[in-house]
Amino acid sequence: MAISPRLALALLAALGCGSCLTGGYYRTQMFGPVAHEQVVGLVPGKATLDDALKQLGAPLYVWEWKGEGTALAWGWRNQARWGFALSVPVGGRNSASFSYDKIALDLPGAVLFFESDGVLVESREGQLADIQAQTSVKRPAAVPENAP
Amino acid sequence: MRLLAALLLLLTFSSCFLSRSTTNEPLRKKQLEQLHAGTTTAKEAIEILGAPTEVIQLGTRSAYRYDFTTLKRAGFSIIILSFLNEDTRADRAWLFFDAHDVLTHVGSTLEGNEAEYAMPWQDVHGD
Repeated sequence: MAISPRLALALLAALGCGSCLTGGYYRTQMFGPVAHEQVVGLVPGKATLDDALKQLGAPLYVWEWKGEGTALAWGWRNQARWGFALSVPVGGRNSASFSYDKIALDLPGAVLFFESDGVLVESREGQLADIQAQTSVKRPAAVPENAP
Repeated sequence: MRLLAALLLLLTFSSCFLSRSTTNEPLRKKQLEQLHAGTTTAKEAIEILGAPTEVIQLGTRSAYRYDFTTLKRAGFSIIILSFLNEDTRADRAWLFFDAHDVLTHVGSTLEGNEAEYAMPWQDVHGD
């Protein structure tokens, strides 16, 4: 097998660029999906928290809703895509830190809202982070005991 | 030139990889079956399952999260092209307690051991 010097150089250049120009086909599969039919099958005013947990399993995340209410979120992803990226190293060190809620809420999915008595009030489907931003209320920080 | 060709071929085919990472300990069905809504207290739940990963305040009530996550990656590269699949599955359990720390509801999903190595064109779970 004969390879011309030009072709060999081009291949070596391509190999050398591997650290800055990358691309490929990627699939991300995260958690089991919840079907739209399962979500709409839980009727507001009738379905309870027990019903939801039995039919949909454990939620991915939970937050406080309207004081004594509860929001339960189920999220999943099954996405495949082609992607290309050009990266330029700008420093010798990198660090990344992601919390569980950040990862969990960065998914599409379904959220069910329950009153304090455990009865379903409403359900929403969409990006979990957006739904949480619209419906959760940040608790004020506790006042320190030695505060004036 | 033959050596160069062989080297290029080696570099092309030497980039297959598999990796697996887990977070926390697997949840056990037998332990979850020891929890009873209406009687089990938060203290007893902690004695059975250990410390939760997270506690969420829900007004005067609370919810404890337990989880175990498995991530399996498989892929290969051809020069600058990569093919990668990531499959994440989890065991999850949420325990809901009332204002008196008595268990009211339990929800669990045990699928942490269902993560699979696959190629990106494979939809292994048929989701």
